[in-house]
Amino acid sequence: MRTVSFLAGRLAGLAATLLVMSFIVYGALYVAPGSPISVITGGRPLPPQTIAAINAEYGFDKPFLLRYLQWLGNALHGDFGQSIVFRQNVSTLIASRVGTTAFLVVYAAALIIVFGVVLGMASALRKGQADTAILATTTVGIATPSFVAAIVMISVFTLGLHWFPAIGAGTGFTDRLWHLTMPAVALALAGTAYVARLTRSATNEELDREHVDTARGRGIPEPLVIRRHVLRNAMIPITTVGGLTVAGLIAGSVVVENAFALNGLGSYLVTSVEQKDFPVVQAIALLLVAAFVVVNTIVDALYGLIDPRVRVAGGAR
Amino acid sequence: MSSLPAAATPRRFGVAGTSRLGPLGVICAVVIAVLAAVAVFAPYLAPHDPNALDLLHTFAGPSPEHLLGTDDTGRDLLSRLIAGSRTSLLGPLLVVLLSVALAVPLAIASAWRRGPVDATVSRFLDVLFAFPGVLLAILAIAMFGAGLPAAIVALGLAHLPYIARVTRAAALRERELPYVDALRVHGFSSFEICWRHLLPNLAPLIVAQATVSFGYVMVDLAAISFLGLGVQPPSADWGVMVASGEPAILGGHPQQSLYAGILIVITVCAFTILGERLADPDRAPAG
Repeated sequence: MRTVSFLAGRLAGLAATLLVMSFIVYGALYVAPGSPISVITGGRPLPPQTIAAINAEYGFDKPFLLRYLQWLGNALHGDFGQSIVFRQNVSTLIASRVGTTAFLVVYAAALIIVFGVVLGMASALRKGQADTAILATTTVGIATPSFVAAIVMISVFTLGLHWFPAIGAGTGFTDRLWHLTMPAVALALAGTAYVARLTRSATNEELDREHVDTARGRGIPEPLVIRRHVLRNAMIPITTVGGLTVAGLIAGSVVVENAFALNGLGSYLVTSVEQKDFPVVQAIALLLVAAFVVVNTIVDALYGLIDPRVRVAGGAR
Repeated sequence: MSSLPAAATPRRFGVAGTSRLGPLGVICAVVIAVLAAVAVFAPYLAPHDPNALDLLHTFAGPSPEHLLGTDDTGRDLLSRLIAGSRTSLLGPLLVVLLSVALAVPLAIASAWRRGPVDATVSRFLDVLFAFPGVLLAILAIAMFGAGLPAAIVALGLAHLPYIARVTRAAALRERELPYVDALRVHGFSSFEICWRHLLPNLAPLIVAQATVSFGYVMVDLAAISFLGLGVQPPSADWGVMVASGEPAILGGHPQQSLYAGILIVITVCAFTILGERLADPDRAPAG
């Protein structure tokens, strides 16, 4: 019962946050200086009838709240209106690019989860030189922006060693994997370093706890102590922060796609901002923010399911 | 005042504090001081005009004339890196100052009043927290056009919750200390207690968090400029330099992008390490 009400609460919170986000995304561009008509007409003087016709076609003559609700209603059906620049359905334009971005983000997320956790545990359990080396590497890793990692990798692996292509997303699964390896590594670098740091401190903290000493005192073999008593408890903070880091990749993909000239959502967002193609900007911004918020909520709910204390405390509030 | 119970000893900065930072922390502080000095005195330090073209000497290697060589239009790379330190450091500084100026009063007020004020502020912070900083900045740029001002305001808002959360949590602990009650009994107003006593005691923590934030903001702002939405070429800025050097990489001239990128990494490293040391000198990882 408690679990159900806990999940219901999180779902309601998700719906409320998404509503606020959609309002910000739509409202922000509504108050932007310069009328959208001047973008459509390219600043040419037009007869009033034509302007009135454009107003009616795009619905600029209706009050703001009505337009927002209409936009939101259509967006829920997958209709984001027409691109001002390409005169095509925004959803069609976006649909062909979702795949690249999704592939990139999932690839980077897998890298973060695997390498972040493994490096962090190695650092905490090995101690000594391995620990120092991993600490130094992760400190630099956290401070390295994805686009700097991108240009370093292009210099080394494309220019120097000819291992990976510098641009394009590839076709077919293996070709795509090969093309998107450098972008995914660039995107995952800071997150991997961050998760490794966190795994290290969570594992170290758990190693110092009394229940670990007790388990050792009872003569339980060390590998079992590590697996059952240390790692299991350490997984709680790792899941939360790891999940949030993965959610952050969605926004980070915008930068990486530009660095590697990939035709994903992020690079299209930047192009559309430059072209003032507002329907596209609204659609992509809403999609990315929604994906970010949904992943966050899933992580939040998972955290509650893994650690019953959160659920109970949350229910009592 | 001496009869009042002592608050938790505030951490002091200055010469006595440097020993608590450890050798690495001191190195980071020195790096930051040098970078700040370079930014302030950039026009006097740059050996050449950072925007002077020399189409006869494009992609020149290092020489006594051009210590780091030249870019695709023959501009002196060292001079451009020095000139670029200004926007690259000033941008994050403004973002952090804006965040702190907004977040600290909000956090202290909400911790002090608690109840509905606190609940409202917390909801507001949650919503801001749920909006990725770079996306907020891109949206702001879509509204107001490319350039630093829109990005600075947007990132200032996006980083507000990080500083506000840390400050609020610390203020909640601080207001329970006996000295606050003692001040109240002495008849001091809420504002006076918060401004004269609570804030100074929270200041070291706020400075530490702001230092860490500076590093992350620098990454975000450089990314915005890299995307072509922030500082506009031909202005020298490290993020812009990474981007404008990219096409030349495959031609075998990665210098411009690499140098600017390395400077960004060094600066961000210095700020994050120093921030961690300031926040918790005892528990920060050794190294």
